[in-house]
Order: sequence, then structure tokens, then C-alpha cells
Amino acid sequence: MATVINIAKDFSPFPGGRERSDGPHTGQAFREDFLAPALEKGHVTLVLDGVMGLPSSFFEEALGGLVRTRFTLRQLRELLTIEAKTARMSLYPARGWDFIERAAMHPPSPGPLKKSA
Amino acid sequence: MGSYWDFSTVNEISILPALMIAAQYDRARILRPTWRPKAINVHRWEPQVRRFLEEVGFLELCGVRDKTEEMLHYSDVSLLRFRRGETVDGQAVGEYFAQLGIDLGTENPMLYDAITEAITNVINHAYGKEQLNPAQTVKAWWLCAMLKTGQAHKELSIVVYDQGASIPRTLPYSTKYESIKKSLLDLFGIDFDSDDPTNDAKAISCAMRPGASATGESHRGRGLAQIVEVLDLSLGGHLSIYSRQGSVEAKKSPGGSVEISPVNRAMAIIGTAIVWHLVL
Repeated sequence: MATVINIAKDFSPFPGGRERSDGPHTGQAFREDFLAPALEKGHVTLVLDGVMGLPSSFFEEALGGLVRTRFTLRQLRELLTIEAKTARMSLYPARGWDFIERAAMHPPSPGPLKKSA
Repeated sequence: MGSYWDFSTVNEISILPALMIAAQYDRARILRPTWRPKAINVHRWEPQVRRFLEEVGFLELCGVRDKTEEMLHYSDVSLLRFRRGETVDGQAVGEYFAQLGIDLGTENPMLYDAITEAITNVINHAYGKEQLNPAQTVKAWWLCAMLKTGQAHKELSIVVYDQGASIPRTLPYSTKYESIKKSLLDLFGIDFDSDDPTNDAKAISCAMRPGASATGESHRGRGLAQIVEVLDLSLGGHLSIYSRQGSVEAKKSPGGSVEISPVNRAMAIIGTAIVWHLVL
């Protein structure tokens, strides 16, 4: 089954923030509620046009988070197409793949250190 | 914070201190709802000072006017009243700039990205719970923007401000703290101590390097870089970051690289302010 997800139309034209607690339209919410479930069913074409922008916290969590949680880089190369037809968003598909590849290269590290008293 | 401030001794004020003053009084009013700051001798204030403090929303907080216009135009300058928020609310940001006639949906997306990343940094890092007294803290961001249209180019000034713990004080919470400390030692010969504000500016400049983040997780840390990246849009634009006693100015060189100038200031500010001046 092939799915087309348009971030602006299907999720929000105002994406921002990484984790759900950050705000109403975060990368984690988009990944968990839209992108990952669609990828479980088959190929997804992710359309970037129409958003105000794609802040790195949002975009990295949405795409890099796929690798950290459920999918391999190889699976995503087969299952995901990232598309931008407007000149305004033309740089973002490559940036998205960069986030995915970096996440595949760098598995999560331990959490932040606590400052000593 | 005193019960009043006499601005009749101030000759001129810019967008950053105007927002910082308004934000501090806004926080005080949230924490003490029945309290209202007093503005005295308003008729003796310099017109530019009164205009900025009125437009940014300060005089409304003081009750000098119950409800000023959301935006007042004078001469070639349009200054929007500040907006406060407690989440990364991109729609609020988009609607705010629409009032200035700026459609973030048609502008280069780097502008929206930079502003929302700055707000994300506030939400995630500015108000570390171990560092601030909750009884005196409002975990919010304040946004203000000004547009000058009178010359050949438009000049857009944007400020994102928080009243949090400051960048230098939050650095030890990063797993990249050791890397930042090493950069400070290698580049400046500084053995950094986050409780000592003497080297704040240089610490901020090291934290601005791509990949340096307040959490140290490898997938985080592009935020500050994206805040700087918006300078690609603007010939002659610059970015300033003020945090505790440090200030750092970043501007594009004619060759395209970003030149970063750290300067430590005599007085500390509360929290962190990011100011973009863009020539559009």
C-alpha cells in the first residue's frame, strides 16, 4: 500500500518542536501519529511543500527518530520518498536524508549529565 | 523589582531593552496578579522612549493605557507589541509576523526555522528546574519584531527572549560540556567555570558551533546553527546573542563565512536574548 503524506495539509503548516511536550505540532507527534504507522503499511511519499519551514528539532525528530525507534536505514531507503517540488523547499529532502543517515550512524548516547553539587 | 521606574532619564531605547523591560514586568504581573508596575512622569519621557515602551506593550501593563493598538506605525517604523508563549507554537509565530505584513509561508523557510528553533531552545533548555526558584519563574518566551521600511531596503529586527538560567549556566548539563570546555581551553586558554561569568561570551561562542547542544545527545544540537543560518538571507544582517554577561555577534563575511565576535559585558542580564537584524 502506498501513501502520500503532505505535512502541511495532513499535519500542520506550522511544524515545530521535538517532543510532544514542546508544543502542538512536534516532530515526535508527526512521526508517531502519521509517518511511522504509514510506513508500517508500505511505501510513503512525504511531501514537504506548503509548510512555513521545517525547523531542525522537528525534522530531525520526525525522520531521525524513525531510525532510533523502529526502522533501519535500508528499510527507509526502500519505503520512503521525500519530495519537494517548490524551489522554496528544495534543500529540505537532502537535509531529511542527512538526518536519517546520521541517526543510523550514531545510536543514542546516554542522557545528559547532572551537574555536580 | 522596584515599585516604579522613572524613564524620564532615558534618552533613547532600542527594541531589545524595551522588550526585556516589558517581559520582566509581564513576569512580575503573572506571579503577582494584583500588582501593577507604576510608570511615573510619563509626560516627561523622551518621545522615542515613550513610543517604544508603549508599542512594545509596557505602558499597557502599567495601566497608562488600557488597550493600545496591537501595532502602532510612526515614521517608517512598525513595532509590534510583544507576544508571550510557553510552547513551540509555530502558528502563533506565523500570525504574529502576518501583522507586520510578513508572510512566513512565502519568505525563505530559514526565517521560520530560526525563530521556532530559538523558541524550542527556550522550552527545552532555558529553565532547568535545578537552577531557578520556581516561585519567581515563568517558563515562557517573549517575542518582539520591528520593521523599518523607509530606506531602499527593509530592515527587520526580531528578538526572542527568555528569563531562564542563561546559556553559560546550563552548559554543565550537557554531555558535550567536556568538548566545549576543551574548545575554551584550546582556543582561549580558559579553564571554564559556569559559576564565573568572566568568560560567558567565549563560552557562548563555543556553544554556537554546529553539533554543540545542551543535551549532548548526538541527534540534537543543530538549533543554534540554524539560528545563525538565517544570516544567509541577509546581506549586511547580523545576529546577537546576549546571555548573562556574555554577548556574541555573528555576521556574514563577504566571503560567506560567519564571523563571530564574543564580548563580555560589565552587567549581567536575566536569561538569554537572541536578536536578528536582517536587511531584506
